[in-house]
Amino acid sequence: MADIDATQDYYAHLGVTADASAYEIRSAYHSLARRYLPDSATSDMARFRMVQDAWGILGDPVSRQAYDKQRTELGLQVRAPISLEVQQNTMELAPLKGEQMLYATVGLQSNSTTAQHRRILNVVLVIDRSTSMLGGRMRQVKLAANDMLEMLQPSDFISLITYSDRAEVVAPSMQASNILSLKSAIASITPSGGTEIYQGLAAGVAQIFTNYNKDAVNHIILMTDGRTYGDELLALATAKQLGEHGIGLTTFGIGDDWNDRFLDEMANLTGRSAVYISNPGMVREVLRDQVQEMTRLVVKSTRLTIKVAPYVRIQHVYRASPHMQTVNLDQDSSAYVGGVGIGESTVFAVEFIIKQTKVGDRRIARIDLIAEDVLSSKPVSMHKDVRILFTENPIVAQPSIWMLNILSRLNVYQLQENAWRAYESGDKIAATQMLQSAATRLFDLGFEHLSEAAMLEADRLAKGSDPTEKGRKEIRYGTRALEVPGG
Amino acid sequence: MAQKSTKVICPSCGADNLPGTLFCVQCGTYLPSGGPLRTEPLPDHDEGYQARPRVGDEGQQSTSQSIRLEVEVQETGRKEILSTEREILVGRIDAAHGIFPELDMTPDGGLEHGVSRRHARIYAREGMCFVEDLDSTNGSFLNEERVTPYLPYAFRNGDRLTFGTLQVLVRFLSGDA
Repeated sequence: MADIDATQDYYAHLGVTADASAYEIRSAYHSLARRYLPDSATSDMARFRMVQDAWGILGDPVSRQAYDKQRTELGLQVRAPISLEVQQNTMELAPLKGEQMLYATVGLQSNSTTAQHRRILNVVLVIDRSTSMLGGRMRQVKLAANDMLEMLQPSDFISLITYSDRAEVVAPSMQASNILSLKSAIASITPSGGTEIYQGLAAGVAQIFTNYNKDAVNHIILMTDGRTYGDELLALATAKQLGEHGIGLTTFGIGDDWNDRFLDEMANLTGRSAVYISNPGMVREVLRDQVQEMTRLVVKSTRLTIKVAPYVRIQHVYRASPHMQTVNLDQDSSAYVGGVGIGESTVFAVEFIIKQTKVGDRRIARIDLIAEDVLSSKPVSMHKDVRILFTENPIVAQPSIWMLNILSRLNVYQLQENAWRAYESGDKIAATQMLQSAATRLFDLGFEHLSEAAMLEADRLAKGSDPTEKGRKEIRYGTRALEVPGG
Repeated sequence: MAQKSTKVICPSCGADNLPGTLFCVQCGTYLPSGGPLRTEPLPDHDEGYQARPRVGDEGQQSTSQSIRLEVEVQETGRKEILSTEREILVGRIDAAHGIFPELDMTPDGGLEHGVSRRHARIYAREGMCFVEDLDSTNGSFLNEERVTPYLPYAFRNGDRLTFGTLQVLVRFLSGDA
């Protein structure tokens, strides 16, 4: 192992940032070494030696760790709470008269592995108390709410709202010290009435802002088992505002008769997802997991921006891991994407369509990430570029197995999402074909149960029937959770 | 001078795809490759001694989260280093169906030696390594004993894993960062 000189910035020698991944460091080393090699046109022995020295330290994880440690001790390097890594399926492409595809993965990785402080929570539970919730559903929700209370600490804030045609503030936002009174409030809930989701959400928003704490994790969990009518736009606008304030909104859909697109969209606007609770018995575990996740959040108000060169457009952006979700970029090419937990990572996949007719080394896109460190409220900002060398004879390497696995599972998710969209727009034939393809792919990947479900719905469509609500939700939410190798 | 771009026609469904597309937009077939190769059951395949699932109470190397393994394929002498940071799928690449095993046995004559596309998986839990057969056509073996599908079997440094009739020797590497 070469001697480490912690006063040297080896990262700068390789043209990377201190949070660069091993992959980026190796790529940088290869391209710079090639450039400064003795027999190359741009040979530079001094630079070559610097690059070699830097690689000697940074290429080996053990010496890199030691170097980072020394740098941090000298105050020369500060570790951000998360790192950003971008991979692309190829670094070189041929210039073409028409369009061509490029794939990139964007990984966010938490840099700390041990929980130092449990985050303070400011939570609001918004519970549907419509008539359909009578019986098992409300029973399980009450149990889940009680379990949640046990997980809270006196410094947390909690509020409980129920809604049917109107919202009722069962417990206004307060510190979670008096659990007994909260429990009796929960016990007193009696279902009756219709479902006006916006009513519940609006009341929840009022409560979350009562004790809105920029140093806490502020989160609303909204549950429903039915459909609302006429107030969707209002609810979505509200969700958008929540996203802008870094407040998470997670939606639980209980049973099969709720509007999955609507619940997805509301949650997505805050970087979260809808959860399909097919069986009321699941509510307890799911709510426990959600709260647990909140206590371990590293960054919040996480915003991803992807700006592209004029000859490039973005076909799709998805979250690929830990579960799949469509990401919709707004007019500023940005989206709130939800945070990362301690020791965890999240991976996004981007599909670019490029139309470039000339050779050259070009920047295709710039990917920016801004977020807020939950503990310190300090802003976190990082960015990476996607570059392509357009050349007559490009080296088109096979993408890494990891990337292929991610993209292949993502493709199945896309197939079934496209199938549903086709069905919604009246194209039953396309929908049937895509569901059948999805079924085949699922079977090949070893997800037999999901494959059967997709086949069943495809058969129904082929025979002229409508798909079932249950089948649709099973497939949509089942394919989201296809095990993707860790990012 | 820009080359004329040719659309990529999917060999499975005939749909047009842009150059560079990895998975067909209509049917999901992996475009840059050919068709799948089905695993044939080998004739007179010796069932072998049935192993009991070992859940790893024997002495194990257990330090950091992920364990680095070196597998040496006995047939070809080929060595590969794998990390258990993620689950390792053992099998044969079938890109058309999105099967990309981390340990691909195609170069060692996987097809001829009865290795299924999704043959087995190797993963680490709490500092120990396990192998699990995925109900492959010709089975998996741990040191000559056949393992039951879908059950975890702990293995140690120096153990031999056999997939179909391809045997690999597994070594645990130290100094993982």
